[in-house]
Amino acid sequence: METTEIKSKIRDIIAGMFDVKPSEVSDTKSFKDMAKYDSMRALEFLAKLENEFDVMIEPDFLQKMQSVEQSVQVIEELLRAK
Amino acid sequence: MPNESLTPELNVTEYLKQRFPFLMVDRVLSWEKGGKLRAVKSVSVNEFYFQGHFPQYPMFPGVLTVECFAQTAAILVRLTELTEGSAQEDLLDVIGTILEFRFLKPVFPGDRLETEVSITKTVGKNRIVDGKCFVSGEEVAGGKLVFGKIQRP
Repeated sequence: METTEIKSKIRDIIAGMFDVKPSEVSDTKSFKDMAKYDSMRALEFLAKLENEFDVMIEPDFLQKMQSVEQSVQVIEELLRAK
Repeated sequence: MPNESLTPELNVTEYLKQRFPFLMVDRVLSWEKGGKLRAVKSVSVNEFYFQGHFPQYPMFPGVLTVECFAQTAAILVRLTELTEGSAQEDLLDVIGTILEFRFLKPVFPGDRLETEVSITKTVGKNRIVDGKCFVSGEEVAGGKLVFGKIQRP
């Protein structure tokens, strides 16, 4: 899967979770700076990524997935390891 | 802490904060430490919501199947926390997100609704709980919920 496609899917997930347009989701802004992002939303994000990309993501990986860019990197690594 | 082999003796009200008329678990059937928990609710035609859902055609409301699932999950979370030594009396378990849930067959008065759940992920005090509901061994519903905590008032 191409990086742009992964990024687009992650943006869609974040947009759906926070009720904003995908174009309004920053690639670099930390999720922690989003008003409604908390540990419960982080877990929801993890589950939706697993479902979308058919990968298993250990909760510890959340530390490395604090933005769209960072999440793309982790998903690419996981997809390569499949 | 109950012995996992003695689950029929486990009093659900010791592990759930819900009370009449909103207890949706009658009994825990089995529990594996660190694994699955299976519980049952016997659906009685005597329950008040059958007057309106639906007149002449009583059918167990789907939202209450979700509630059965959630309460079964809450017992598992509670038992897990007691095992881990992380239980806090001032926090209530709440559904954070219904990640997915599907209804395969309707549930009717007289059915024995069994729900089996397991915790698949934990982040802090939040957990993803996966599970299925059965009637007479046949799957009638199932899904995946994010469980979180809120401060008890």
